Amino acid sequence: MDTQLRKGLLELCVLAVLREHDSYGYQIIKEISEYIDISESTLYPILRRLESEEKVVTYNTQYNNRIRKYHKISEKGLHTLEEFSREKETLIRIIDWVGGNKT
Amino acid sequence: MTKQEFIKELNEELASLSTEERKKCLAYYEEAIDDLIDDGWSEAEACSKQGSIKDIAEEITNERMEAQNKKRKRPTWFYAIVVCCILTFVSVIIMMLMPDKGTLTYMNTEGNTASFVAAKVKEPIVLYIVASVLNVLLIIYGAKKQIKKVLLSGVCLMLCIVIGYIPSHMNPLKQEEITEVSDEDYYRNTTASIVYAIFDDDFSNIAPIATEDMQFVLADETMKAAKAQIATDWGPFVSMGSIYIEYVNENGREYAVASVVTSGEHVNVSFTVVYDELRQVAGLYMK
Repeated sequence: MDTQLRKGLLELCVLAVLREHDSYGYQIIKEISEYIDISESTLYPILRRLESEEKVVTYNTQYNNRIRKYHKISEKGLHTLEEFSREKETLIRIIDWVGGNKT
Repeated sequence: MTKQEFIKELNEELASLSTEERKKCLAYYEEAIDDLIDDGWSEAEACSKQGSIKDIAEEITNERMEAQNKKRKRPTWFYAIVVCCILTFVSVIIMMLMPDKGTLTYMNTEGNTASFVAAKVKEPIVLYIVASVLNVLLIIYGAKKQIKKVLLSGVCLMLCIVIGYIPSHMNPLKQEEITEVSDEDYYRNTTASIVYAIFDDDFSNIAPIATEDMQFVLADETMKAAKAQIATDWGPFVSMGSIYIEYVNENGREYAVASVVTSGEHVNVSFTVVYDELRQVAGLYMK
């Protein structure tokens, strides 16, 4: 898949995972991998970007005897997902058209 | 590679980052490696699964550059509006600080003097409206792009404008003073006051509302001499007839002429006061 397209989609995928529940790096990768390939090194910049855009906030918890960083979606993040949802029909139409199935 | 080696090398590669940024990154990867180990992978496998350290560092530095560039991109019209806002705001302040124009000394029928504003104070309404509109635009922009700073400063400027607007409207002193005196009333009242003043030999109050040319005429000596020519002692004021106002046009300029017949205890005097377009006394005749 095209890098730019991936990047855009991955951000949304991360938000989609966090919409269901707070999560941490490794778990996010596992959940997204069901839909699209993603590695740790790809995920980290995305998480940092989402954090700087205030779409995601983080908090630490104890796990075994180390610190685990949890990520939580913010109002702004939910808003982004809502906006995407509103454009779903348009996107599907574009994908069908580009993909060669004109509706 | 052991976890420690991985982290150490990554730390070196991220030297260009701030301490905080670097710490966050190292913590993330340490956690990622630990999670893989928990899942059953070996330390070496967990490290290699992270990818090349150089790639990681490159990706992160790229992201930082992109983020910085994004912040700098503000549309030109945004700056234009900010400049306009500041300019309007400054001029609003200047307008508020400017002293009221056209203060005249007006004598009421009791002979007391009071200052009042003869002309209506010009309200910088247009300025307030323009400033408010620009500020609303600023606030909308800030809200849309979710830039707190812009939103806050827009709201603050808006508050300042509102606060600045209120005093100039709620000021009780000004409200009383801004009485739009109709021309006729003004001429009548002023003429009456002038008559009283002249009877009382109190010419100093007429000078302020007279033209420059009249200053000499209204000097104490000149006025007393003129009075003496009519009668040595006028006696106190007794009564005043109706004041007639006429408007004449001479040499393309408008004048108001007020005439009245009065009587003092010892003499009857008829006054004619001429006012120019600025409502100043331009002529005075007594006989």
